[in-house]
Amino acid sequence: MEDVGVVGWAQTRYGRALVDETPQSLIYSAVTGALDSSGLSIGDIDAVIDAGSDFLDGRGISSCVTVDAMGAQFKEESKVAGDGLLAAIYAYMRIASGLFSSAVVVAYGKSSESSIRKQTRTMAEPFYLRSLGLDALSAGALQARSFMRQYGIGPDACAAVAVKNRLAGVKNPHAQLRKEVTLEQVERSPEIMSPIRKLEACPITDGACAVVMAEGGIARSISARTAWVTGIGHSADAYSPGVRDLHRAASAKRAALSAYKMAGVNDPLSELDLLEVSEFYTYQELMLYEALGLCGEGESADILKAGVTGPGGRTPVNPSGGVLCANPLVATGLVRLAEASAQVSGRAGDLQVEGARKALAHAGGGLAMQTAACIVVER
Amino acid sequence: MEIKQPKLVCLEGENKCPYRWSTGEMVGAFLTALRDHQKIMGGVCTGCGAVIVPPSSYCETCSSPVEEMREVGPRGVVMSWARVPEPFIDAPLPAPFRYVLVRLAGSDTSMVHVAPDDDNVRVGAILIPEFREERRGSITDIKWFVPEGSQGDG
Ligand SMILES: [Zn+2]
Repeated sequence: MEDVGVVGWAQTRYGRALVDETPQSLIYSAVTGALDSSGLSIGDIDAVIDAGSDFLDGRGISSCVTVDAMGAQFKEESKVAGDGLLAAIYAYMRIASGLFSSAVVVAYGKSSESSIRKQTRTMAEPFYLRSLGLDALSAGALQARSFMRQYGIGPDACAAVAVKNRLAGVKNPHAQLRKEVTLEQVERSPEIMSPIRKLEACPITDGACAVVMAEGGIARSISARTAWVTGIGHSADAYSPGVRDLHRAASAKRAALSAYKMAGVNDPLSELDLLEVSEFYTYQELMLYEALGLCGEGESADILKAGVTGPGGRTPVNPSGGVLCANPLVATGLVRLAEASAQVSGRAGDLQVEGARKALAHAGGGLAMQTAACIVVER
Repeated sequence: MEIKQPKLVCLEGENKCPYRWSTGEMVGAFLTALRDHQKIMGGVCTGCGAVIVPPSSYCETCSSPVEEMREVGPRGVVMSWARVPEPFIDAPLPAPFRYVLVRLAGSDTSMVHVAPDDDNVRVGAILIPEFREERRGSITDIKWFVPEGSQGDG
């Protein structure tokens, strides 16, 4: 199997409604930016794997329209119906197989152009869930309470995740929200779907992200600071929320275990230097501490409180500020890979975790974290 | 021509398309029982024996076929709930109301449904379904689940 490295990445600016951008213009600037940062040009690229949402775009098979903006004309182009981190896993597999030597991965979303809550309702099948109006937020709220009750996690622990991540986001030049919040502000923000409060939910974000991946020979020839992909994993839990153990992120656990096994990570807390995870709501970051192996069952609030996952902690989680500071939906998980790659290659600027060599990027998908994808990158 | 000070334009549009979703046999049998008999039917997994509510034709836990149906409930225990403070398009009830995950007596899974915004709707509480007068073969033929003993008063 070929070595595969992440050799370039770029994020567009993010905003609540970028009315001066189209999906194509966002894609174009993300792809050209990622290529520039890699030193490769589009002519060097074999494959383009993209992720977008036909629902958000309001048109079918949307990659037919965006193919030119991606630089994918007359290349192997394939679209993933899921987070861009899954697209990165597909690109990894293509290169690892030896059939391709390089790939552009791009993901984009303009959530502002439609009603995001109405769109997430289309994830629900029509008979049992959609007729009831269930969407990402209400499914998340049912999961939040289930998790908090199971382990006696208080609302203050969830609110503290928002405080931690929003503070980290202040330093992130890409973040949409760059203003810190206090615990009191979070706890006094309105309940948009109890137990979830407004400041505990990710913002609505327009934007795009792209990464360039290449096989070992190319990666070594263009840069001495590649983020090597050493582990991948993807997993899906049962669809129906009432069939799952809703208080556990079981698919994230499986995806992480696969990635850790491949990367030879036995104790993520001591071996990983940081994690970038997809917390669409505060409680999800706590659930992910457990699922990704940073603590035992029910101990997530304790490690947060002890500062383990905070800035300067043993294993910082979301030093970029995470999804609570920007959620360019569909690109959300790919952004985690771009941030993790920047960290392990020592190119994270103001966000740099000192001495970072190994990191995990996580993406979540579906209602109440039904699916998960994980990638381990290292220097 | 150089573009100077471009005018920002958003084109208003809407995707609307009718559907006729086939229920399949198992979901169809469940919805028919709600509509015609005000009964809640679960599916019995031929593999793990779990009673699945609402049912599908295969088990989401062990992938075995689900071939038999069995009546469950009507009582159920609240496993989780979420309060909806504001109205929204396609909401099944006027706000405020609550979403509930309710585990019906005799079932091994929980069902998502709705309940009044009543502080008695909490984890561990017993709820019973209230059926609509006019039923059309939908999960919303159950108007909502209400705390036992309080049905009919809102
Ligand atoms: Zn079964």
